[in-house]
Amino acid sequence: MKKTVYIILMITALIIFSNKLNAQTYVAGDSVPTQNYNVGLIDSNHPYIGMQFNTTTAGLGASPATNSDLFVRLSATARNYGHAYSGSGTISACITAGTVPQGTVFTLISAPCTTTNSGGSLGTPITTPIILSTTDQNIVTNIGTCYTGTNDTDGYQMTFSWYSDNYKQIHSQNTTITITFTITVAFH
Amino acid sequence: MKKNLLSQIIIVVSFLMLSASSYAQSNTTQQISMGIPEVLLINAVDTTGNVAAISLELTTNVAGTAIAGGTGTSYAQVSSIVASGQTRSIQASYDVIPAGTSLDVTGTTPTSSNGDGTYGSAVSTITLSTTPQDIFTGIGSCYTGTSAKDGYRFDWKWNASTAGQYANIVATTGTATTVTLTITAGQ
Repeated sequence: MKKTVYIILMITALIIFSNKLNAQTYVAGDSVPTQNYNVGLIDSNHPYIGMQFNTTTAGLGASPATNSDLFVRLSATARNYGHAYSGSGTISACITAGTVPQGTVFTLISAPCTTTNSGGSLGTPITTPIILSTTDQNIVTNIGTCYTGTNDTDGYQMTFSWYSDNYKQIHSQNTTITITFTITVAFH
Repeated sequence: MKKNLLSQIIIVVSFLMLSASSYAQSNTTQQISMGIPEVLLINAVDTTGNVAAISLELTTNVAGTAIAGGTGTSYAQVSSIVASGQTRSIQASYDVIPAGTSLDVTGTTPTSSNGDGTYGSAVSTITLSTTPQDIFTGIGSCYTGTSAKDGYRFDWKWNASTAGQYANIVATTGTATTVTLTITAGQ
């Protein structure tokens, strides 16, 4: 019986270890060989994004400019264990720290992946901007095995918009929020 | 026993391979700084939406009555964002008006659909002086619009002053009076 447990543990360790080894080999945006293992790597160009809710004309409501400085890049691939691959990977986004100022709405939409250095099944962006919240929401779907490239302007260009849905509730303030982007690569 | 062992191993391996193959996930984060500065903008315009003087004239054509009738309308177009819990006022004062006369103003808060927010309320009719007085109070975050007749409405009424001052009135043309409208800091 002890031998059984030992063998099981060894096999478990080997499988976990082999997956970890593979995951550390590549950078998000790289082309990853498809014959090996599942990979879902995601990263970005990490720009500074500062948005101001302001106006300089008496009588006009404050209307901040949109921001499109962020590019999300990824590598997605999978080992095919004999099952049909459906290409149902997603990029999702949610707020994981901070709060959008009261009386305002913060939205996000993704452009299709840039084509300069990318390859594979890059998926399709959701066509209507999502209102960012603490609940994860898909912004790109149907991602298959693909890579985006690793340059600063490779990948999915994200556009943030910020507007008021209740002007009475707005008040002056400075705050910082954190958006978390998640790639989920599912194979069935 | 061996068969049982083999079965267990196969089950465990299958489970691990299946779980590893069906799901891969990772994430990255992006910080965003969001700033809402205080906004405090006011622009006085006439009924056509232009920055221009309004003309008031006192006269009478009925023998035995005091001169009267100096009325006019203007608007103040405003953008305001206040700090939490604060409100603002719009005040008015003049530099000088002809002797023996008085200048009253009645305010009306914005009604145009071009604006939004907390407009506050108008104080009752005020007789202006050289000291700023509140015409509107309780103004929060709002904007009024920039088209003609958007904004806080000011109905001006220029009249002979209170009893005892009529003797000071002299005929004059083109006397310019500057009324200063001020939106106060949040309080």
